[in-house]
Amino acid sequence: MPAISLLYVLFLLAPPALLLLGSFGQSWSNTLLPQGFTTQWYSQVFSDPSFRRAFAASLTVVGATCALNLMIGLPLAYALYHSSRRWLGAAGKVLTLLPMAVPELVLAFGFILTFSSDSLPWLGSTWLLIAAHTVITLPYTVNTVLAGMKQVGLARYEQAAASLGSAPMQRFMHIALPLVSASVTSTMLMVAALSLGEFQLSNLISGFLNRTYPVVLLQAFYGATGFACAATVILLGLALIASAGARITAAVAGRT
Amino acid sequence: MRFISFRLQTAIFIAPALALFLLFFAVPSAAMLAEAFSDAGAAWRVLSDPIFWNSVIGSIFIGLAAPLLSLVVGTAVAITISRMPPRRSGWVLFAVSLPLTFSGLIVAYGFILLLGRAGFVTQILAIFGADPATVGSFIFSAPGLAVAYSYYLIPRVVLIVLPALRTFDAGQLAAARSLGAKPGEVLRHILLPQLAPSLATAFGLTAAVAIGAYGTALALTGTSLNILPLFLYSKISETGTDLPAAAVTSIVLMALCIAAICLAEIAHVFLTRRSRG
Amino acid sequence: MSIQFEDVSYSYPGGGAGVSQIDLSIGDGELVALIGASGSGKTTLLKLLAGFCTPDKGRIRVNGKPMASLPPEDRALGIVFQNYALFPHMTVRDNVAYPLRLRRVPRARRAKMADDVLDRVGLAGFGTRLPAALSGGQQQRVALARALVFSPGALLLDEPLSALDANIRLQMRGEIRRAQQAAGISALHVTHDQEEAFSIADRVAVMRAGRIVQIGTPQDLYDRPVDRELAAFVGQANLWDGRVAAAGRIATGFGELSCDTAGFAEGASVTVCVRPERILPDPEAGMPNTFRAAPTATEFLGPIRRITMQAGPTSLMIETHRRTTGDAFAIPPEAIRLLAS
Repeated sequence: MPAISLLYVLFLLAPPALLLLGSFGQSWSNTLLPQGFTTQWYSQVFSDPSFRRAFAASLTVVGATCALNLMIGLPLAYALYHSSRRWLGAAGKVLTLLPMAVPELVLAFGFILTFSSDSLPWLGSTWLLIAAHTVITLPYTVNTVLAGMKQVGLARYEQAAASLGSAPMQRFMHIALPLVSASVTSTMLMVAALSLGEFQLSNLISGFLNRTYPVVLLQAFYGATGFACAATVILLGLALIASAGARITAAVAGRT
Repeated sequence: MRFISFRLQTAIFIAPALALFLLFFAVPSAAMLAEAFSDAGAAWRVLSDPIFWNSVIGSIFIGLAAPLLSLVVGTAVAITISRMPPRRSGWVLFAVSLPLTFSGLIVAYGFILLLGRAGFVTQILAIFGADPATVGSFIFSAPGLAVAYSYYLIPRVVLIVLPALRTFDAGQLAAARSLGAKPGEVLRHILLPQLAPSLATAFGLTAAVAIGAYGTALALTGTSLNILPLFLYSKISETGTDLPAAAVTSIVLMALCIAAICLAEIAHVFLTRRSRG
Repeated sequence: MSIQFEDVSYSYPGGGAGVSQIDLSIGDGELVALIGASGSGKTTLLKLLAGFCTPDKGRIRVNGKPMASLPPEDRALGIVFQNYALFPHMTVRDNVAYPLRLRRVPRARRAKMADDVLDRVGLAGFGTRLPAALSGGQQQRVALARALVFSPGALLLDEPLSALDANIRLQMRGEIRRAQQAAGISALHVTHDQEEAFSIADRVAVMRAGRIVQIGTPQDLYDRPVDRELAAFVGQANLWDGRVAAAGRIATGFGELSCDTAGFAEGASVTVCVRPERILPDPEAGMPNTFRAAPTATEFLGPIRRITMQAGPTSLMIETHRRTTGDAFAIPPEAIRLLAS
């Protein structure tokens, strides 16, 4: 076991490590490691107009996706938490398995068929992109927030509040929201990371002007190694920051 | 606001999610089904295409190889983590689950740097006499894709298997040893039978992901590799394409994913019943 | 059929408390109970014997055979674990037959042997059930059956009764003892329950900070504890500070006691240990060591009463079956045990 685990750590670390090395190397062709040190690739990515536009588009989509997850996913999780057990189990199962059964590629195809028609001509719009990202991240949000609600044992606090005269909506606002806020924050950071890296849907349904960062990144793979590495490392770094933020807030949530 | 009944509140809380799901999941799925059945000849056109069948075979291979590799490594990693003190295991688990949030493109380019034609490992092996052309083409083949997929499938396996390991009473291992079982026998007779239900779930889940994904494969090979998602992708992205045929392909792809999940669910139930009565 | 520890020491790699200089010999068919607080090293000793740890120093032998180089699976010791560690995915019969399966006993024969042992522990007909469907006491019996079915060289019991209800615990004590004697093998029984140890064991070893501080029959330990801490650990005890005033005379807070002071020099500080049931309340006139005292509290415990008395600055505990309380008490000289302080 320990031998396999040790090899796994190398396997886990090697691709990001090489990307990082490559992004600072002046040239990298037919040598074991890149030659020279430069930050020019990063400045090239930052000054590239299509990357700048993609970055802005991604930020918009990620932000709106998180907001929608919060407004739609949190109430749904809360309603499921308080529904009867049989209902809850079934809904949870459907939420987990449906996205598995319908791959992003197939969903994207469905989007193309539905939203390029004359009655619903929304294909290529930013808000359709946001809706798509929300649909594929919502199951994660609901499952995670639901688990958080179970973990803090929301029901007993709400029962106490009800006995003190708190109405349903007041219990949601005064008791539920504050108690799950840390785990919800953590979940939203994970959603941000997932939405940021999403490629399979965006690649097929985004318009030319609102292509997200990963969609533009694919084009970079056919250019200079250093540039591709730098552009990839930026995406990797943002995913890492969001994940680390999620982990830290989750640790805080676990302590209270 | 004070006097909204709980029932009404629940309805209000569920409604937006339901609307989102209907408009952006159910309707597109239905449109896809409708498209498939709009042209009676579409199914025949797909089924008579030899590339389609090669792609199905390629996808079944990926759907078996990637989960199998991920299961072996993921289980070993999960066992290692389950034996760590809680404080350390929390951070290790965080590190292990990082690839879940990585874009498939990051994985693809990382593996090109690691195992591609001028990759790090390829060049090291070349020093020992391995042909760079042979080694360097591995990552662009179906087995190579299985290795790349395992990069983000292993964390899923760990996250599914670890809870089962944590509820497993480790005293059983000591008990089995005291009764005369060698370490390998302890694994075979005691640990694996009890992990079997979660291993089945993990297999089905990772198989469905491996069969359905196309991002990493596209970045690694373009559309040259014969797997079903790339076959479908090339149909969708071409202009003037045969949409009903693409829809039929989508249904086959979904059917493969659903089959993987259902088989795993059945195996899970069967194995659970056998292990707990 | 015996177990021997010779000068065994072990310390945990992480720096946890281990055991040091353990000498312990368990005879043929003898049951020795190992008691001590948690962290005293009693479980470590069991792990060393079972092979889950390897001693840094010293030798362990079972039936004359050195254990040092053997992995746990080759030691052939029957172990009953604290939470039984029954395999939840195997039926009761498969659990009991598992050690036989590992020893390549043919299927039909091992089923028969398992059923025989289950019959002996009173679980005939339970073979096809899963462990989860059994009560705690029944699980305990399966664990015992599994540990004995392959005729192990010795029996190791790791807090086997701690998870059971009080009344079943009493019953299981007897069953474990009977099964061990029927098998005719040495047994090491680790427990933190002093009463359990005394009721079941031929001899009891008390551990503290990784060492065995005293070993003897239960009566030895009760009547002749080696130090103050042990006297308090084993049953109830009155423990007073005293000083040897002269040969045969001890000065205490409430007066001078006469007793045997052999082994203590004049002027030495001692601890006076007297068991509460040895003190006589309401004594007849003329008894030695009689003092006046006022009863301050009485607890009725059924067969006996526990009386607290105040004599000068000293509070003392008396247990008696008498129903009357006077205003004096007497301590028979032979009831007094002196401990070095």
